[in-house]
Amino acid sequence: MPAGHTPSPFSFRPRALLAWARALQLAPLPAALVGGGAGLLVGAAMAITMRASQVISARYQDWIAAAGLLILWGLIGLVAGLTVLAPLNEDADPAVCDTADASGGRGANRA
Amino acid sequence: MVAETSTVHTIPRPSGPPASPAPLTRIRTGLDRLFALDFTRRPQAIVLALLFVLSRASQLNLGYGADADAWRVAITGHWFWEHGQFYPSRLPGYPLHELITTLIIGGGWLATNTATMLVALAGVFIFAAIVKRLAIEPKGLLTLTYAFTPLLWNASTVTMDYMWGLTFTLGAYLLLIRRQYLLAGVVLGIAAGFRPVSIAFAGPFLLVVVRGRDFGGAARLLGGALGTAAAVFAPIWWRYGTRFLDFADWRPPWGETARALGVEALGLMPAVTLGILLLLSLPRLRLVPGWVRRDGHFAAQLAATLMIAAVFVRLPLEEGYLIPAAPFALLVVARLFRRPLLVTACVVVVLGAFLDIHTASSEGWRSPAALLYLRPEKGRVLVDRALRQQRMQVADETWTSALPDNAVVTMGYYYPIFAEMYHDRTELRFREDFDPRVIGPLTDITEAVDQRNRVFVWLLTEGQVREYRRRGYRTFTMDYRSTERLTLEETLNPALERYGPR
Repeated sequence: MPAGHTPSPFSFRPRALLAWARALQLAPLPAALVGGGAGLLVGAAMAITMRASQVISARYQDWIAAAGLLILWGLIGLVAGLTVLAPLNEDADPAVCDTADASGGRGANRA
Repeated sequence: MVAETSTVHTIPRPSGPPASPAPLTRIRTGLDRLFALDFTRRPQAIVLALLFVLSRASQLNLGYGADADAWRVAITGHWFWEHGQFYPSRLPGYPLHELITTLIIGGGWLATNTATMLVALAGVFIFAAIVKRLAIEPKGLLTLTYAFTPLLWNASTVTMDYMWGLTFTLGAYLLLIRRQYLLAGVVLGIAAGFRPVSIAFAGPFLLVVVRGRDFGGAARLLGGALGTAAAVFAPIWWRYGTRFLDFADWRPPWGETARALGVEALGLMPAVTLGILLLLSLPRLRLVPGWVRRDGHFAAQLAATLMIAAVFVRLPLEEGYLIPAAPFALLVVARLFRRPLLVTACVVVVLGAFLDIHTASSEGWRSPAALLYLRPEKGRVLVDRALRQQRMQVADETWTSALPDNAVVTMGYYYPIFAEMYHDRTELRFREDFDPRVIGPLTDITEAVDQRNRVFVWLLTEGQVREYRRRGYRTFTMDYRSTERLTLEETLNPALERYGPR
């Protein structure tokens, strides 16, 4: 494959699809929107299911539980979107320290 | 003129001990050393293990736990040996925990609680290995906080599945960090066998793998987790079909939810302190998107914490449902809080084991004046001790009460505790046919009957009360107040009166 060529996701060839997925990189804002939107859909689906199965019946329970689920799933989606669709690979796998005595705490809490 | 030379004699200083640092400096240095301790090293690990066991010792012999579900697990174990049949303690089923409890139930609560404690201790060392591997500081402080967080402390001394599930989840996470994805999936599937919600961690864990575009690794992780969980749940699936996915699904009032979240999970004082520290850390929230993009493990920890919070919002029945989030929340907070705030948070959380606050205002927290009546009270570990003693005392008082022969008493929440405590002196039997829709068959639709034909049950419907009456039984319900202790009341009108304890 020539350098700089992004394979099409619509070619329906497993290798091409994998190559496309590997190359997929969005800017932070679209990644956050995609992820957050997906999370909101999950939260909404959960709230609707709870309503349908009459787990939430009183009005105030509806609103609070539904709002809680929407917010939390929206945030989960946001985190997932940014992680998977807009990773910053300025250093590979920065959190993992493979040395036996990992001291220094990269990115960790420091005084 | 000849310059007069002179020799300068310096007076030697008396050689004494070097000036010692100020006491405050010494304390600070000592604390810094403690907070940086590596508990994966043998000497430190041995000291921590001793402290861990000693701190739990007094709780191991206090029944199966304050939660009636712990006693339901024990009933499942005894029923298996006495009848050769397996019934889940409650749906959706906790098969591996029930299996292990069944194997050691002969040793009573001392054996089953000790097993939980040892598994929880293993979890502490896995957590220590994770913080070391991820180079998160201060690793000593974080490990100590994980080991002595009151919610986990109490859960590590009872016959419940929380710490089993959590330890295996942490094991899966450590394997994930070591890029052993298939094994991580299998261990996560085992964690689901202890506590089904654990399977949800596959989502946050996958973030780490997919971020690195290792789709093969992601397939191995997911396949291992789902395959193992399916194998572990096969016996329950075989008996119940997909009905085993049903579970107690109702919502408590928000007041109770707030209490579970704010008081019972951490204690009021630690919860309020953490809230304040979180407010002080709000400016650092703007850094979170950058951390999420740079560090897949931070993203996974944050997603795991949010996911368990969402599970709790979906079903906010017990504070224990928050337990799987604890280690991941701790790792997130370690990044979010500045060092002094983190140290304060950890100290206050652990202090919550022994000390808390409440308001002595007669109107409770509804009145703004409640703050003027703040008083100290026992922390969560001491409260748990008292609760467990009280639960068993109620069962004892019911047994020795002046309940007449041929009487039925609805015990509600206390029924599993009573039925298990007196399983040698009562006969446990089904009072209706097995129904796969029943959440806990061995407790919800059984009765414990003693030699005087006194019948103890969880709850009754109006029709069931009429049936007992028709067969010549008198029906009673019970009430318990700490000041008056147990009182039994005869219930006379099935249509009007409730059949559960107050």
